[in-house]
Amino acid sequence: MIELRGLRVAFARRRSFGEVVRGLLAPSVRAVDGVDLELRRGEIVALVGESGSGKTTTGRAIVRLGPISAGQILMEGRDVTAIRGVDLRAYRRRVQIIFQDPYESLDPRRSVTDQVAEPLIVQGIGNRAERRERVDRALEEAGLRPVALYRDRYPHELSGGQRQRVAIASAMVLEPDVLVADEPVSMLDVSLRSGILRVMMDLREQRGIGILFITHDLSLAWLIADRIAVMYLGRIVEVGPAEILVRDPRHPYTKALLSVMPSPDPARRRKRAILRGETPDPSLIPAGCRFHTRCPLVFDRCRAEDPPDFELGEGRRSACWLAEGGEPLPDFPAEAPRLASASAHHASAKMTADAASAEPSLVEPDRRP
Amino acid sequence: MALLEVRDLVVEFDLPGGRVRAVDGVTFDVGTAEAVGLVGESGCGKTTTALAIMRLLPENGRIAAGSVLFDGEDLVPMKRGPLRRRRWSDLSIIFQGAMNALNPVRRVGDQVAEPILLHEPSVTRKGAWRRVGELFELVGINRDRRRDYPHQFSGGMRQRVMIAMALANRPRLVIGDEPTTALDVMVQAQILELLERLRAELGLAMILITHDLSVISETCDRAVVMYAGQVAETGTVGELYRRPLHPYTERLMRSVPDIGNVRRLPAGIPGHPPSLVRPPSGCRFHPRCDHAMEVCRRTFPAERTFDPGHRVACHAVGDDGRTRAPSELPLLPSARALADLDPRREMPTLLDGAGAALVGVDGEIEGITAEGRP
Repeated sequence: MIELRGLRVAFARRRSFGEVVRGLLAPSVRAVDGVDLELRRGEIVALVGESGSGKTTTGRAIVRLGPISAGQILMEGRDVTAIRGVDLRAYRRRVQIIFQDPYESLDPRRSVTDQVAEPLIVQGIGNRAERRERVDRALEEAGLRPVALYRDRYPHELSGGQRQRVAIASAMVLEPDVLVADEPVSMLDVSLRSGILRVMMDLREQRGIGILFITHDLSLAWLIADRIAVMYLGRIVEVGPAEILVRDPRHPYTKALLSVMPSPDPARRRKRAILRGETPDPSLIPAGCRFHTRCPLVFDRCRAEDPPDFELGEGRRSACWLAEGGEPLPDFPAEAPRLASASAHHASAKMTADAASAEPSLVEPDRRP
Repeated sequence: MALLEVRDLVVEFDLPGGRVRAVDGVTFDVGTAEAVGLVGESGCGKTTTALAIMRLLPENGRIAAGSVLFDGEDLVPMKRGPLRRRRWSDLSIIFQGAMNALNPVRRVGDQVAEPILLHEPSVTRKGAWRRVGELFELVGINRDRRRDYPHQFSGGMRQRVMIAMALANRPRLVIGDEPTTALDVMVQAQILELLERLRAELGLAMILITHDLSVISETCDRAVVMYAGQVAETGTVGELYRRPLHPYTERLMRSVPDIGNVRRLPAGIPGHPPSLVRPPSGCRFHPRCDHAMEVCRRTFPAERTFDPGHRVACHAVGDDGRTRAPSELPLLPSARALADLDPRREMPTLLDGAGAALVGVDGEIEGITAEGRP
């Protein structure tokens, strides 16, 4: 239903003082750096990544918020990358987004009904009575039952979970075909999360909508999604059916993320492969494979050549040289390689690795703003 | 004698709407080099307990009863002077989102040196600076970065600075209040690993506060499960996972996805934690509990100990230390309604207070039909 082809989003970063003084150009940040992804009807795809991976920018680009530098967004085969005006409005009716923070996405001065009815008014749909009916239906679907108790409330009279349900209702009131949900539960208590997740699964089942579920939490993605796409520094490094990807990851980044997911079962404390350092600055994407500076399985080729996507069957794809032959990934070496070796590859990245310090493996480079 | 013994702690707040007991009779121990997790939903009194232990309650809050014994000495009646000497040098705290509390216009090294100079008059400026260097290396920051400013650090690195600051006076107990909540997964893993290592190397005792039981299972020896200002259950993390006795613990355990295990949407917990202005009668969890009986509504269950160190306050637990199934109990209508709900269909109605409308005066759920209507 939605297809992204080589999507790129680049921002010009503000120049630092030093750069202004030296008359340098503003560095460009490749927030989304060539993303290919498909979302089918009735499918939940999770886009997983850490902050700065470009997952939110990708989600916003799909609903046509923010600039798109290159590539295409297709809806049912039609190019919507550059549509404007009436076409764009019609498109947004079918593709909706909800945001992470239920405390910020609602207008504190407007009642639940007004809030949820607004998209209908903007789109010029229905008369008063029809709108009211659709609002009630949307609230009901979002689990705010009995509707009569919520309709006239204001945001401050609602809990965080209830607010997020109102946000879902305002997205669903237009009966879209696609919902982009950007971290919809990460601000909520764990005990409340499954309620929201269940609402989304019901919407998928009953309405057949496609959901792009953006999250930093791989375990949530695994729980709710049919397919998982893992993003690192603007690129999807691995994509595949949720169960298969979790059981048998084919990209070292996915494997490392999996190994650090905490388990409620203390007997299952796993051997964690903790990557040193943090995701590099997106304005300084490493040459070669973008993950090579932190990869425990790095070898020479990774430093020189950016791997293409390797198709692995069963709808799986991995952008890792080790996936080329289609074999499972080898185990990580016992001790993750030290970052001292990483600094060599990006001369412009300021690295502070200090091989002589007492605990070199813990000394890490920084993302400097 | 444990390093820290919290006994029957009661904390009250004066609010415009009246007096609220945010912590109501909390008791637990933390041994030397032991890590204890405090877990529960938001608003259950975890942070208030931590602030009370540190004697850092806001103006309108006070410790109304109970004691906090640190190394056998009660911190509750202690005067401000001696208390300040203990704080940071015996016990310290890392707040949630603490990395945003750094002063943006001062070098991080100076900020970390401040508590050293303040609390240890014998240490010179140079000595403090040297210790900051050691602390930075301990938490995995290059010592050359002492001269940097907070904006030159990422969130994870700033959180490390805060940990270094909490360790500046070599405390024996550190409280971490959601120390990793705002951080990325990999950075969270780094910080948790760091705390574990510090515990092993320095013999540091730790209280870790989080709403995520899986973080506690990964890093702590024991956990204290709190609900509405009270302790529902205490035990080793293994016991609590394998044999949770309190229905609340069990629900909380099942709210967390366990990646790679059975792929099933967690049941969550219907309703929401009660307001503490007028808490429910009897067991405070009874309005949301699918094991609730008449007795639960009337009397607060006494705490009982099963196996050394496994304590629980629940009427549904028999003397044999087994939690009766709802089918074996004379349930309240509300509990039966909860048990009868088809989780697939009706949970959304009940979750996070959507069912609160059906809750009567004392927090009781007054009947729910299949449609989720009264």
